[in-house]
Amino acid sequence: MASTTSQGSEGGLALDPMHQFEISRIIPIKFGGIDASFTNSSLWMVLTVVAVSALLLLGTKRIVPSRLQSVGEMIYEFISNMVRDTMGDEGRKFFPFILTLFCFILGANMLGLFALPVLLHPFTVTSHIIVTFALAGLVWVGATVFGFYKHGLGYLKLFAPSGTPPVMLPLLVPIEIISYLSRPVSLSVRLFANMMAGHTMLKVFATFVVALGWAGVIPLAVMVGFTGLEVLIAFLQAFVFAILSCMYINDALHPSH
Amino acid sequence: MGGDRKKSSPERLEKLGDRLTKAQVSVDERNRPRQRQPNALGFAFRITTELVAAVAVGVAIGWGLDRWLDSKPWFLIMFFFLGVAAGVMNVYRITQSTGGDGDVPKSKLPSVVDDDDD
Repeated sequence: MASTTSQGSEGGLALDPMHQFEISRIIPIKFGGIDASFTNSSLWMVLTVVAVSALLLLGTKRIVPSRLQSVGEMIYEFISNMVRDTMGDEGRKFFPFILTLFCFILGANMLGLFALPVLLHPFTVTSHIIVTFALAGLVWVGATVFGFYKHGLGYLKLFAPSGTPPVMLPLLVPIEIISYLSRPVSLSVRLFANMMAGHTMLKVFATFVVALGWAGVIPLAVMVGFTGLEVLIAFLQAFVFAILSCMYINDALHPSH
Repeated sequence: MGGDRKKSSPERLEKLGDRLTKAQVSVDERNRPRQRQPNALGFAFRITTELVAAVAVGVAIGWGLDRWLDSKPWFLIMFFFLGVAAGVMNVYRITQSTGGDGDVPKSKLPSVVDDDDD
């Protein structure tokens, strides 16, 4: 797998900080003309799902929770509060979706932070724009379809805020539409860019540690700090993704308030 | 005893309501500071992506229309400016909903989001 090749190229400055984002096929699968191989990205998605499911499902029986169970309960409560605060009671039915979304992104971000290639080379699923765009597109298309399903053509009122003078409408409606279309773009780019920039930065600093010899202690110390920051960013970006999804779904629930 | 209970049941309901509101308020208060943690970096990044994404979408639409209608470069120019406007509007909405000091304080979100769409 990827771990052997990436470690083999380790020669001081020759280490490629972008190598970590490369996709490699593990089980090649051809589906008609489409390459549907099981890649390292797929593998880490599966691992994310397994890890998150294990955290949330296993060991939830105790009344006095263990540490791991506390983490699971905190995540549940956190998202539960968020869903209630942003969407109200009507939004309860979206809670499972938002919880899944948040846990998947958080899990993928966190698993990607494991620096040691023990068996497999760690891969951050969310550092690929196509993955984040698929997630954001799912939210966006889902919210749009739900909005039209719930309000019919009345959902279009979202693009024409009431109280605007009719003269302004030809200018304002295109702006509103562009703003609406930019939602999945900004949602996906934000997560992807944060993850990719963070991991590239970590790799670059890790190269300095090797290249500087004994003085490599200094970038090593910086690395420790950065890793902490990355953990924060991993959480924050998952949170931002989830809360913005909530807001978009809330717009679909109440377009004209 | 049964009659006594019936008589006082509206009062008791009211009391229960009061207690529920109090509990809700305390829960809200407990949640608020945690959500309001200012994170300038995240906030700045969020604004940047909103702005850039809207401009990118505007340019993409303009470029596509130009290709389709063979009208270079008029739609591109027009939708570039519309995209900039949309981006500025996005940023304006974010700053309105957060007061500019935090990433996404949820306690304020619903009401403000609603205002925007009016």
